[in-house]
Amino acid sequence: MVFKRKVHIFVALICFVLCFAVTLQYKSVTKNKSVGITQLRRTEELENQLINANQQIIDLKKENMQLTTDIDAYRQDAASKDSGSGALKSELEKALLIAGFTKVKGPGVTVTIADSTETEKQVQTADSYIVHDSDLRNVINELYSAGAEAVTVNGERLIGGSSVRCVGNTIIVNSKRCSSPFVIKAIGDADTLESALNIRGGVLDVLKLYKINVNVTKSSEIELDKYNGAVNFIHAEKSEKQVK
Amino acid sequence: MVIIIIAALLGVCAAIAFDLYIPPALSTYAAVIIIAAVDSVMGAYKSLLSDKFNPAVFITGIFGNSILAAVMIFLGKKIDLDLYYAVLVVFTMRIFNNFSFIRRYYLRKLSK
Repeated sequence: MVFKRKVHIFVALICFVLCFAVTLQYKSVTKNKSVGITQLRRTEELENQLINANQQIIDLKKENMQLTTDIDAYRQDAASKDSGSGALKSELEKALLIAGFTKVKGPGVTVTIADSTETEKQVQTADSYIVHDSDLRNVINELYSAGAEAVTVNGERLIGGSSVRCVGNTIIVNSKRCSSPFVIKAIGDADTLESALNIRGGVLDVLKLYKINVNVTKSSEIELDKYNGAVNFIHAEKSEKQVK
Repeated sequence: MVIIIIAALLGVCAAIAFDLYIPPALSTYAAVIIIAAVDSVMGAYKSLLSDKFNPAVFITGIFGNSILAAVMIFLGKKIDLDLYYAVLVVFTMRIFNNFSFIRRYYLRKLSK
């Protein structure tokens, strides 16, 4: 009986350790799960921040527009005072037009490019039936080489430093996210632009081969928005040296 | 019997009292080792009933089983095979076997 009592104490000790371990494990598992919940909360927080940031963008854009009209008014005012500043103003306007900082209008073409509407069965790989950034770049390049003077992609004006690149499943033009259908508007000689695009074996022919929906329309007058972003030159500065 | 229950409750209280957590990476190991320990305790109880209890066998069993189980899981993780399922199946099977022995023992005792 003495032996048995000893054994009981022994088993009790083991039971103590076992229960300790089980409770510890239970505590840990519960804690790990609650960490998951806090991550969820963090997501919500970030979502709210994003909404706030978007609202700020809208407000700042409004302010920007207001300030631009103010600047225009001052320019008008300055130009009317003497002839020297009038010449400067016309020079400035020309520079702004070339740089893409003014709204422009003129004859041109509107190119609409949309992902293929072919059903999945007919498509070998979905990848080849969607519009890629390289497709857009090819079309834009073709338009410029045919003498386009101003180009917008989904309303986003292209300027000297613009980029068209693929991020995830959307295409980013300048810094604006775009998705299919892509509407490319270009001002230039409408007939030249159209025939440059529709040339046999040209860019649009290749896209049609992949069953991508392409549509080109000529117009006698289209209006393109100005570039709305900011351009900051940090590294480049004016050089007076003659480059040979 | 009472002392065992008190010890078990003390264990739970101690775990709650200490601010100690098992890191998530070791969670699987801890879980399997717990099952191994439960199996050992059931085995010990079974041998107690049949008067064949040997502390040395029990101690080597509980540590040996736990270490072997941990090694199996580690190996399984290294060769990308969920070996802990196999370990769990073996231990739970043994728990049920032990339980059925204990059940029969008490049934026999009752029918006497």
